Amino acid sequence: MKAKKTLPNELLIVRGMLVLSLLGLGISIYLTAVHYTETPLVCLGTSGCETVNRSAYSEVAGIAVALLGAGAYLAILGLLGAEAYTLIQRQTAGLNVFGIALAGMLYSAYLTYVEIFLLRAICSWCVISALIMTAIFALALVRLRLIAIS
Amino acid sequence: MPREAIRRRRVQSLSRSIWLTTGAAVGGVLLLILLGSRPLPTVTIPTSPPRPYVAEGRTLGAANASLVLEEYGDFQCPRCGEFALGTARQIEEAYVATGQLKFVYHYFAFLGEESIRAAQATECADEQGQAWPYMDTLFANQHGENQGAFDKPHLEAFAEALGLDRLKFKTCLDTNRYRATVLRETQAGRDRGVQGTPTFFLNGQMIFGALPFEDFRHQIEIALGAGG
Repeated sequence: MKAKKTLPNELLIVRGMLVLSLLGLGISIYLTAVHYTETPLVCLGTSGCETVNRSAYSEVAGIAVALLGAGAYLAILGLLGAEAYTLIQRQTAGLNVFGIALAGMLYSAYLTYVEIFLLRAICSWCVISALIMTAIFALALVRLRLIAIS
Repeated sequence: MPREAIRRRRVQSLSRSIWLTTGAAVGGVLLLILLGSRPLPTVTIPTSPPRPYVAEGRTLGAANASLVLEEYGDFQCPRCGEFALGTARQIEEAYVATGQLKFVYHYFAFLGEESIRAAQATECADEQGQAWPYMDTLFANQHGENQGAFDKPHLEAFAEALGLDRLKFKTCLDTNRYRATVLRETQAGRDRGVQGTPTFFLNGQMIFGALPFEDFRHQIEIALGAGG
């Protein structure tokens, strides 16, 4: 299969995903650092960041949920980077980013449910990350559509 | 049209990949949720009275009170639990709140590992100024001896339910930094002749057992009379 050239619209989408992933990565690294140290967490607007980030739900099998988030954003960046350097094909990158963003979005939705109904505390950073992941998913979906019709 | 056919096959293959990816993503998320949702222990939080007379740590009441009532207790001992959530409240109200009596709780962790861990956890709660609510919670959540009622997840759940800083508490518990304190205090009790729980010392005079409030009142009144 010959490699298709990236369309102008698609380039915009990829750049959008890059910027969003970097933002998400920044937030996740911050939340991870705060989780594993005893520094207080600066919360945007709400007051529940500490409660959420230190709750029983903030770790899965001993790994901080924030660290999982950082891993997901890093993986997306890695895939897009590998594609830019033609290490992997456009469709492979598109599909994998789609998969990671879908998983990230679904898991974020679950975590937001936990915040609202189980912890009764909202962590604004976590909500922002959930929105970023949702936006990346939307872009990844549009991109798959472009890949399909091109 | 062969070109159209190639395109269709490509789209079909892509669409199959999308479904596979979606399946993997959903599966991965379900696995994460499953891993993360360990059953949280149910915690009974007893109502603790407001205690403006908490001195420090496990001491209640005015420093210059004429009487001192000390208890040697084990968090797994049912009679200690009954005393803590019943008679002790009456004594507090009648004599501690009025400044006549100072009440001190000592660890006598002799019923096993979970007794020691529960006492260590109390010290960790004390770091955050919550020793009394934590002790009340331990007593309200007793369930058998060394059967897991005071295992690590439970001890952490109590702290969380009381609004303590979870990470700080967990670090304190994990490092076992108060184990020696608990064992030393238990030994000190043995040295004073304590053999079971609860054992009390009213101004140094030993009283054994979770006696009814009336009996404590009787003894306290006698001691107050003798002192005054």
